[in-house]
Amino acid sequence: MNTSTPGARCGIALTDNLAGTEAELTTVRQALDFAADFFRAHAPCAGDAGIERASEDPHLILLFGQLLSRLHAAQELLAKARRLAGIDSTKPVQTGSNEQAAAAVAAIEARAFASDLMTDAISRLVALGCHTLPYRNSHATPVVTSPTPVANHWNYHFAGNYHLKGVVPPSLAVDTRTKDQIPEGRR
Amino acid sequence: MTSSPSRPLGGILFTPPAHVIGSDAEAVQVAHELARALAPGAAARDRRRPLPAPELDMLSKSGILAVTVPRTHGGADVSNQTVGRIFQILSAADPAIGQLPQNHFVFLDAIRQDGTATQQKHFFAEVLAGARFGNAQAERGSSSALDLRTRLTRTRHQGLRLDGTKYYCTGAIVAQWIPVAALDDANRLVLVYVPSNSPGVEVRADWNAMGQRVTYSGTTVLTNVAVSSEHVIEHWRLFERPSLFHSFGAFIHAAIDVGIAQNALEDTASLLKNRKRPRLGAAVDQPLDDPHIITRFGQLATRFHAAEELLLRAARALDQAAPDVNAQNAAEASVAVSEAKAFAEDVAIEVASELFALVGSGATDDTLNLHRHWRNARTHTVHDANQWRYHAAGNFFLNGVAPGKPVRRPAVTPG
Repeated sequence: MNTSTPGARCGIALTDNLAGTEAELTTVRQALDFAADFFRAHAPCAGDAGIERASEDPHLILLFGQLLSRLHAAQELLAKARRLAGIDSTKPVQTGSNEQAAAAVAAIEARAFASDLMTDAISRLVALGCHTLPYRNSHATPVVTSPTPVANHWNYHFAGNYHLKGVVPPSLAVDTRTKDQIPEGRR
Repeated sequence: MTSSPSRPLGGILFTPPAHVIGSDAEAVQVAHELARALAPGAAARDRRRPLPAPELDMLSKSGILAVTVPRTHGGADVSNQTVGRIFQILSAADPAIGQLPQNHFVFLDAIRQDGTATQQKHFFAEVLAGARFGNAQAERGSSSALDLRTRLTRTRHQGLRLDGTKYYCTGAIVAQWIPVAALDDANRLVLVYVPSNSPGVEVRADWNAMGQRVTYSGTTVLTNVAVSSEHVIEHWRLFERPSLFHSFGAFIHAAIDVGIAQNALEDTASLLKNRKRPRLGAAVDQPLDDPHIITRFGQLATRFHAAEELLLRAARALDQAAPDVNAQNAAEASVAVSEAKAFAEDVAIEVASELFALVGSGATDDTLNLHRHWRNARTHTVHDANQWRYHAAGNFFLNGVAPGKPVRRPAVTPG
């Protein structure tokens, strides 16, 4: 991310958000698959009489349903952002257009929704006894896939600002600051 | 409501010839036009609860209630995606009016599923002309939704007769036909399509729920009602094969909840734009500069969009399975609908409640009737617990258990 010269863009670019979302959702999908195998092979962590395998625990089944719903929703939000950005079409959206702003916001929403899901999924599955989950990889994911990780609440903030006030996300805004006005660590 | 009159027959049963919609695109366009007409009166209707006959007549005339009639019978046979959009659009304007035709589309599908050629010709023509189906399906106090006491009996001298008492009869009070779920002499589940002005049919205006108030989902009493065998659909056949019938009904309910969420979210945005005073403790000049309001609104908008996308995903699953339904694709579609429905409930309830947290005390003014969003969402979602919808999705993934059709549970005998 180059913000060292005036006029450069700041914030996370659309393509970075799409890639980050995709990576996080792959992590969630793998975690759910891994945990499903684990729970099918293990007894419930709390001793519920009459249930042999954790995968038959109604509370765990409910949790899986909730996480799967969010996973599928996130996959659709990602597909929507790709569609709006014209990623798979021969005619990408134009720079500076309303369509570009809408696509950038859709990507931001997909990313925020996916990040929330990843954090929740890993933490809940581990809490239910799936300690062997390769969760360390998942925490590395956003760092690996995006040069400047944006805290999730700021992504929601960018989305809220766009919907309420029509403010385009910082990644599309032209940065009019001079080099001296940008703090050292952010250049 | 006390001493409410039963449905006045005059006026409601007459529907002038309806417009016939020709395509998916036209159906969506007409839905938008109807929504624009419905939105301004929604809050007042919730408060005063007039019989929604003029609104349903408007729907009939527009042709929107006939869009799933097959093309071979002169309809537009629109996709499930379009049906979902229609219900979201209408429900974002007035979810009670939006819910009223839910049963209509379900019982139109029942005819498509198991009606004879003669029955299909008759009823599809009725619907294209503007006729509406209500519903008289559920009974209070039974052990399951299909444990029915309503009977269709062949009498020695009077032909077929129908007797029973129904509740949750959404749409019956403004319908020309009331499909009644009953058991026949062989104990099989049938749907009896009764003209609503038949002698022995009494639709009561006794719906008194806190939300979805204009749906009039109250009691229908059937006393020795004469029935023509031409109006009896052998609904039991549906349970002997994989079908999308029940998923389709739940899908429409999900679309209604997405519409309620949209209604509440749009109200939240427009109220915030007009508020002058920041919340207590916020060091900003106006609410729209409050970082916590902006972020929370962004979160709610994101979750609403997620619910919209899950609805589209469910529509796709239904549309893909429809041409060749089998056990596998019916199960997958059912799970996709369950996910959409459960998530839509969560979002509708959340947005309708957070509206007050973000807009502030002014929004609680009873005369604004903003609490109707929460009352509507809560009332509409409790008949189908979202935990079991999530459970169905989890069980399919974890244990490969396909979601079941509604079953007739044998009566439990004590001892």
